[in-house]
Amino acid sequence: MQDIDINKATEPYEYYLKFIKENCRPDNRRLSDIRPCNVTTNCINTVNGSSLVKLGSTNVICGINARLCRPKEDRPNKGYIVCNVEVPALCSSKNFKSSTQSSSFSQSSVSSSTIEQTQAMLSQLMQDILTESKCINEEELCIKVGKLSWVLFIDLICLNNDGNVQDACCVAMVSALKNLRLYQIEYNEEEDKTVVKYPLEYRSLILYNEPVLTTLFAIEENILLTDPNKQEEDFMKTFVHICTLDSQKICLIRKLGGFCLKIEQLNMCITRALDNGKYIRENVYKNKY
Amino acid sequence: MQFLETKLEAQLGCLTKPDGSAKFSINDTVQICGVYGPGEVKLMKEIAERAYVNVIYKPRVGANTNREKVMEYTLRSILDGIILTSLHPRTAINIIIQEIQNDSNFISCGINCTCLALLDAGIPLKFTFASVRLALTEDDNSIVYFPDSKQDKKIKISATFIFDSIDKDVISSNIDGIFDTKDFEYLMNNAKQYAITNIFPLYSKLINEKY
Repeated sequence: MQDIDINKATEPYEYYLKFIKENCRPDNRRLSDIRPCNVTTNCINTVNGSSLVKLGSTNVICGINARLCRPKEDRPNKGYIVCNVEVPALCSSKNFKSSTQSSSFSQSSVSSSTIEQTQAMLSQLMQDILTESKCINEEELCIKVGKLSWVLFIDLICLNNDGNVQDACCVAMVSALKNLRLYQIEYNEEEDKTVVKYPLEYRSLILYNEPVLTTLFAIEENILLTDPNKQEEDFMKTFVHICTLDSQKICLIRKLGGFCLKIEQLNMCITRALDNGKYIRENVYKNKY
Repeated sequence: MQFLETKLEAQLGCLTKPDGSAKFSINDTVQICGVYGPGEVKLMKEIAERAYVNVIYKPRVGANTNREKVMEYTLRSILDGIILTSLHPRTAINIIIQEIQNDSNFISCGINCTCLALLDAGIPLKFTFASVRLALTEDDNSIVYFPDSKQDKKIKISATFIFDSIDKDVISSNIDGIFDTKDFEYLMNNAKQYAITNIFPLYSKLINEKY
């Protein structure tokens, strides 16, 4: 027992590899398992829709604010959605507030970057998931063509970073969208005013599909694992983000850097992502909102 | 197949100050890349066993927004695995890309430009890499290589791939749109063929002319 504890501190990578060779991981998961995922909705009552997701120890909270605005000039019949992800200093000991300091403490060259870049990357990823999956029809956000529409500000804040923030963000975003309540607004043409219908009538947005993001990573040549935790993110050599819509359709594949993956490995990633998507849709998204 | 319509042009060594530079243009998208390195690094960013790769992407107008930061992150994570950084510990390799014209192919153009600039600077790489962007149109399901902003409005799936020069495997891929595995393989195989027939020979030609 004493030997195992010493190796965990002095040679963490070799200690981790011993588990992988036996097809399991230190936290008792199989290579293709994700951590237990729990969602609570309606946790913030000052916003129109909210959710809190726990993926293992990674906590992400999402709040959606709906505001009225004039639609953009080139799209007068559509509202719009703005996504913003924050990874503040409180969520991880390696996330320093200073934007000029990069986290060079982590060994992995693939996952180290400044806070600004990580936040930009995550925000862009969430925005792309919404646009590419077409899960929200932006024309439903318009109240009066050219004059009045809803704009949804989706804010995601990571409260605890134990790896794989992006998967948790996606689940939080979709759960909060399902929880969203917009009240009925009418536009009075003659007086050029917006009128809120009293008593307040609520409507929710229709989600045409439920995107699920899965992150797979590789530490050695042919070993692919799902859902990295913080320690595994330091070891990983390459990762793939795959966003699935239902049992066959994929809306987004992002693979960045590290070493190359062969076509068979990419196909295996896609199969695992589709299975994971099915699992999340059946167990997590099915909750009553 | 629209090979004949895409015009790829490149030029090595167009800037005098950087250690290596290159200009790359795909139809109307033009970018210049300058590479300085391996050189001095600030103490904060120094890494004991490898070089620190720093990528700066400058847009044509305006300040840096999310788009530029995402481009920098993408490039840095790709290059960290390709440049032999352990040969130059405690140094920094600075890569600066300036966008001159953008017609929606800026990611591919930037990556190809960076590869040529790194070759021009003589920085040791595991392999050279080439980026291809293609799309499936909505009307007749045909493939368009490097669609420009007008063609962008009529596509349903857009994919950017980066291939290495040895095994022609996928280093990086970025696919948007609603698709399934068959579409993915079809796009990947076509992109690979395009890279093999057009982009890698262009690199060889340029390097042969220089040396």
